[in-house]
Amino acid sequence: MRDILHMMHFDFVSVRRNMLPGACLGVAGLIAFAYLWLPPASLALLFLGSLFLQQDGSSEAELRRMYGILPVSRRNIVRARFHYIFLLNLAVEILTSAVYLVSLRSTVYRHMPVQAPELKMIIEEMHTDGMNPGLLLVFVLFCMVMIVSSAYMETMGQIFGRENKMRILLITMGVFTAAALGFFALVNADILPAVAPSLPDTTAGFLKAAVIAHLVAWAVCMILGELTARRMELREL
Amino acid sequence: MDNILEITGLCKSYGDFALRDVSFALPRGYIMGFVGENGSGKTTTIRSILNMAKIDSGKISVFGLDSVTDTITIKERMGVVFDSLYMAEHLTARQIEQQLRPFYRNWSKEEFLGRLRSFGLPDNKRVGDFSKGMKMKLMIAVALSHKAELMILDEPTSGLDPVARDELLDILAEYIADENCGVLFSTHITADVERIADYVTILHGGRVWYTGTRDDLTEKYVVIKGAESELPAEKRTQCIGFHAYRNGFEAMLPADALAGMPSVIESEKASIDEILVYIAKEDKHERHPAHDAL
Repeated sequence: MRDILHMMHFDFVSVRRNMLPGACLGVAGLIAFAYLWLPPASLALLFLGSLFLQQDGSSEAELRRMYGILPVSRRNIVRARFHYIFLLNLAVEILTSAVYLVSLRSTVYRHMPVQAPELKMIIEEMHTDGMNPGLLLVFVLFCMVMIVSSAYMETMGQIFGRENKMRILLITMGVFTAAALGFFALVNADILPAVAPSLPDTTAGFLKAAVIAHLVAWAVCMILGELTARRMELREL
Repeated sequence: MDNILEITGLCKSYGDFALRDVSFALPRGYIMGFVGENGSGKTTTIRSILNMAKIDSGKISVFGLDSVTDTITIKERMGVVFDSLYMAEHLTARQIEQQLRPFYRNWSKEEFLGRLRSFGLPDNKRVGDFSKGMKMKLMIAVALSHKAELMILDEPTSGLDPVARDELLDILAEYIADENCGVLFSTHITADVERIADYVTILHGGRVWYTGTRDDLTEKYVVIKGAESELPAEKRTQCIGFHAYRNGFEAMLPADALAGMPSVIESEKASIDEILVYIAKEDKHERHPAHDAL
């Protein structure tokens, strides 16, 4: 476990210099947007984890040789990457949830200068309607999808080469988006009437759903990590 | 003698290239020059020591430990310098220190920062912007900061200007002053080997052509020149890399085969550079390697 923690720290330090200034700026911009206008805008923060994972900053050749020198087993190097993916996404989700919840209660938007009355009304509704159950459900599912897809992309990237990550990302996003849209289309068309009543509509229900979704995502992440680690251990650096 | 590194019967094949029965040992407290032409197998041997390449057969022992089963313990006590930087080029030296520190029990931040200062390396500049000499020094600073007992350098001086090469060799000489350490130094710049190596291993075509002390090597072979007609036939068969010109010939010969050589044939000690050249010439003429003939 010590090795895994060290490798996660290694990955974070590697990406921090490249990403942190831009990420801080993006987060500040989105927070302002969410507080002053639309709280759901904070959900865009969920993509922050993917951006961190994409902007590693180290080349494949550098990493291969570094991994050959570090006093850590190849298996733990790969496992650490999957722990890092899970925790990074989780941290981003917590940040997103905090920004969203605070922006719902924020009244800063009332001090915005000149706004069209219709627009002002929409913003007022966005802030006073409270949590939208449909939105929360999408949020929980999307968080799970982000973790699983990040882990899946890492597996593909490690096995087939990091340079193919963008293609893998696009394919993965496309598959999951299509699946989610298909699911909601079925629910809306009353094709899955049994599903709708069982969807959570209370805070406790959503928390329970979120915990279960994250446990599933964590399990998938660890399984993919283990499978990738076993495969990569057989390869030369 | 206590060997800090010992390789026995190492075999590793990659399609059309193979390391065959590579064996040599580096005693503690010495520097070994690991030389050979490009593609002779130096880097593959180093990758095998680091367990980056999976060996087909043989045994590699570092600090008396097995390089495969004890690889983590070994790497904690070993420093590595490659021909190019293996660290993330977008980071500063200080950030690299933050990255690497947790992995080594013996890591000393003070030692690292002190080395940066003494090597004249800035700690707040992207290491990718360093010159090649500075990158080499940074890798050495990392190795020294966790008190590596064995330093392995793969072509560290290639591409360096003479001043940077000289500095690097001075650093290694200072490092080895602590007789508890060892250095394996792969290069094809034989002048560096002649300057600092106590031992030399020559790799040729995936095999060890020579391994032993540098002094023995330079005493062991001579370069001979003269008229081809003056060269006795039995001596001709012992020549390595024999090359005939319009006005004569030149070749390398084991020094102990000089006895009985006509005085008209000139002879002088072979440098390591010349030894490598004659080994390569011998191959071109498709004759047996020298050690087979001896």
